[in-house]
Amino acid sequence: MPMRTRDSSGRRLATLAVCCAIVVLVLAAVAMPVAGHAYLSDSDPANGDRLEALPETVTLEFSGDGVQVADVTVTGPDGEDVSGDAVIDPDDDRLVSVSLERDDTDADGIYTVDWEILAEDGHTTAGSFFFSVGDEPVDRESVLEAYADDEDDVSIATTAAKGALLLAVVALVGVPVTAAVAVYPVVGRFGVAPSVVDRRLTRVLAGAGVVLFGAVLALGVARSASIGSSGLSLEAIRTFAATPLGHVWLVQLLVAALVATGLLAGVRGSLDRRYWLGSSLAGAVVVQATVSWTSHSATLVDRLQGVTVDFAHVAGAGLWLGGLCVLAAVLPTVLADAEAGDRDRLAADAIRRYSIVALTGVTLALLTGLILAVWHAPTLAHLAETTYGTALSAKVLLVVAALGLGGFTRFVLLRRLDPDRERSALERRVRGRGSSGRGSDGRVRENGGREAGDDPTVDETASTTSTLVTRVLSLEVALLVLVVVLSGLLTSTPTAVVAEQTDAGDPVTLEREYDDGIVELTVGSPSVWGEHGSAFVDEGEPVVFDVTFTSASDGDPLESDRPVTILAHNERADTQLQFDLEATEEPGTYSTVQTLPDPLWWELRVSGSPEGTYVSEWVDVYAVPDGHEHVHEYAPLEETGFTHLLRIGAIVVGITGSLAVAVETVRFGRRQR
Amino acid sequence: MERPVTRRRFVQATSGGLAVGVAGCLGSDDDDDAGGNGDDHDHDDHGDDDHDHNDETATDAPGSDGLAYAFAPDRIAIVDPEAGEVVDELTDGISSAEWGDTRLTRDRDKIFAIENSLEQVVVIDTETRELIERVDIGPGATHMYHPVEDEMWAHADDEGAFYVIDTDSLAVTEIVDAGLEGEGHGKLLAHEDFGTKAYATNVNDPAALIVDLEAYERTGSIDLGEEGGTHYKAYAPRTGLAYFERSGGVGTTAVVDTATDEVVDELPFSGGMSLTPDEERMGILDGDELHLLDMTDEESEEIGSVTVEGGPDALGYHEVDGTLYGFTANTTTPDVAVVDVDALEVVDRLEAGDIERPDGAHHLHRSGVTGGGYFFTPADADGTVAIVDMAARALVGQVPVGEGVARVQYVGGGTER
Repeated sequence: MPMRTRDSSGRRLATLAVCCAIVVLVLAAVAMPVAGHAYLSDSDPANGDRLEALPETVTLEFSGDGVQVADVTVTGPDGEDVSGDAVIDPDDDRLVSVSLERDDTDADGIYTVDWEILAEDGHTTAGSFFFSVGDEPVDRESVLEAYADDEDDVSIATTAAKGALLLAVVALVGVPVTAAVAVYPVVGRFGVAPSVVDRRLTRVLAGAGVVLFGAVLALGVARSASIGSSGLSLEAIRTFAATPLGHVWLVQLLVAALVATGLLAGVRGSLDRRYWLGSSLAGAVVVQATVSWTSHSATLVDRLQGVTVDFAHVAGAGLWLGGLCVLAAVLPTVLADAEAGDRDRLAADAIRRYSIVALTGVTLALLTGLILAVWHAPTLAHLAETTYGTALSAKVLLVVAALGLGGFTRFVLLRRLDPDRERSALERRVRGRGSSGRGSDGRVRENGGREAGDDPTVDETASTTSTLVTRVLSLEVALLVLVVVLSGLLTSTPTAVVAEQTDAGDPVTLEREYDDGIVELTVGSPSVWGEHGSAFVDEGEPVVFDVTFTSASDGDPLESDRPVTILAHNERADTQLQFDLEATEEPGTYSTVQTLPDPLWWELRVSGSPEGTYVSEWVDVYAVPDGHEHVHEYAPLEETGFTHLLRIGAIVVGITGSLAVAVETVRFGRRQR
Repeated sequence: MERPVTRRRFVQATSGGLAVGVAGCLGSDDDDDAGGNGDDHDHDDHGDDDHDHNDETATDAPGSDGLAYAFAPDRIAIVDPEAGEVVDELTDGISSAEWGDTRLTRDRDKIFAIENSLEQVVVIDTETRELIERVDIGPGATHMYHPVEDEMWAHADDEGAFYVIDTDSLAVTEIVDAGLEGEGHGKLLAHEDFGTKAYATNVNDPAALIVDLEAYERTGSIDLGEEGGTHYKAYAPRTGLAYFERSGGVGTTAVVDTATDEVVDELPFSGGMSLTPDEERMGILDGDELHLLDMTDEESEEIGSVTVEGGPDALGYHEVDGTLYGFTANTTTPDVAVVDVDALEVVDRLEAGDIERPDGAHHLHRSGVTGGGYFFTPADADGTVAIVDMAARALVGQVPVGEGVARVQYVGGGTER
């Protein structure tokens, strides 16, 4: 009996145990996993990895809880979404993978991975990381070597193209205006056939139109080559053309092509004067307006103000230099075609009319030039210590010299001749150029001298003076052409304000103080420059970030007890990245090489724990968009004594010039009556 | 098991049974809160702040006393629960914010809020209703605690470390590495009964981590198993037992004697834990099931359970005429369930607005806090905050705050642990 009892008890116990086991198993099977959060613990590629080729899949591994829902986006170097749907591993719900889709064979660049997941417990977490694809890894030393070797040199091709473009615009603005104001009305009054003017003018303008088209084309090609990773290529041009600056370039190219075509048609006589004159001016205005839109002034100071001042500056130069070109190229031909007795008055009339145009142009150019100097080179130091300042100083000297020559010609040389002498000098100069038999009274030799029998003293003085006048005029034109070419250089270099702290390419160090120490972030790249406490780099370009902690009391380097990191935040692009820095051989210095994959402002937070003190400081770095040159956001200007002087000068020039134009206009009006 | 309880009873008697435990989550929570909030994920701990003893504390935060701050991505709205409307807002410098836990200082002068878009803690002066500081902390912070008078402890999940912020200098003064593996989502359980000791949880560590609040370091750990991690936590002052959810699919709750730091029991269910105001009972939300446990019993006897359909989360309590009611913010239904805790039955449901429910999600979270006799729960999909008058068991209103509103912090009567 006892044995049977024990057996029954044993079976009951065994049955109970089996039931409990079944219950436990069932409960375990149906129990909802409840825990807290899932967050990214690993990924493949990992944050900051550099790969030789684009992987087929990005895998994210989460710790903590499993993942219910996952949303992963991988953005390529050109901003395109290259990711497929995120897939949660059915066997391990902590693994999420996303396949990468890319058509181009060239996948080099930075890839940003943005992820957001809903964990099993209902908590949502999100984050981002990046990796890069390239042929060779870029390390700190190679980037350092790159910017150590690089001079702050301006692209010669870009400078030459900009200079040529400006010259063409100046001619296409000034020539039609001067022709319309100072030549055609005069020609009409004195019975000279306008076709005489047309023939000369169309050739001059057509040449300028062709130069305009060529300069615009060359500028686009030069910029494309600068952003292409392997120089100029069709792909680089396509890439550039897709940028905002590229869009502007395409408009310029189209307009320049239309202008050149219209002017060539004018040369052939198949287009009416109104159209080729009008299209020349209109096209030049459009092209210059687009150039002004992306000028230093528009991007650095204020869009509207900058565009207006920049445009007015070039327009003023156009009226001055362009008008001179008309006088030099067209007037002698007109005079040669005129009646002998009319030439003096014709010339005088034309010159007086041009004087009004020239005064207006000079006033506009000088006034706006002084304003530009206030914005871009507000101190004497800026003029002396930067490439921009040097070029500007040279330009100013040349302008002063040209003004001096113009004044010398107008008020000294021409007055050496009495009015009659003046007219005779002009006439002789004209007769000297024109063919014989055109109304010549036979008294003027081809070399400008008079036949024997006239007053030799007067004749020789007038001849000498007129020759001098011609040479001075030629020199004035040459100086102004140089001025325009220098302007091309000015538009190609960083302004003096921008280059204030360092020349582009020298590492920029941003410093912050904390309790008893100093943390420095040194930003190094081939194109970096500093301005107003921020660093400027090119979007997508490898940048060396060095963080150094030093003691404020003795300057000794301080080691960080915790990882040194940089949190990079771009609010406009909604991008956030975190970089871990590695210790270098230099004590207290930590470094990483990264790229900022999106343009415009980045807030960088540098964190570490030097000697156990938690430090976290913010600095600003600006990533210049691809295809843009030294684009800045508005920065407050320094007001110095020098800028006050410049502003006063601008006011004086404005008032004086306006008065001069008014006086000249009134005097001209009286003479006409 | 014999345990010395004399000291504990003395503390309890003199303090009047104050709310306990650090743990974020909802409503009733927290050692920190003078005003109502705990971490709204974390409804593990202790009592309600509309506890009787709350009224005894004079408020000297006239700028915001009795008001609730609702945190939306582009705005912090200050809500008058009585009127059911927004009376003020903070917008300067607030854009695309990702809010984590909020904490009110004990003097109710400041609100600290985790803002994760820039890995910071934002500090708001409740007197002036102004954002006065942004304190940089480590990455991935979710929860924050107020274990000692002048410190906020924010847990940076990516590092598994607490960033200690001095509430006067508004600067990080210490970093305490708590996680065994250096990373992982975690929480903190602190109580005056523990002295300078606190317990941290970490979803990567199958252990309760022992932290010294004065030495600012992890001094030990209590092994709770081989797999998974720890997440929710709670403390029962009557018994001196601490409860740690075993996460990562384990699904149980480890019970630890805080006097000896030994595991004494294991409960067969787990989830967010919330102690009743009298500290005699504790609710554990395990899925749709609310388990009620006897917190005066060293065996943690289950009194009973009730099914609350709708994916309840964030449990808060309020006693009316001798009956204790629980209020849950539900995740799969747009309502607040009112539970008669004594009778263990759902007696009402109140409209509360909807939260975001991504396709395929089967477990969601919804925050809820109590304060001033109100239960607040944000509805991020609707952009509203539902305000429930707990005494009347009625909805005051659904106040429009802004899409994505996810956190509420009450400023008002309430004392700490």
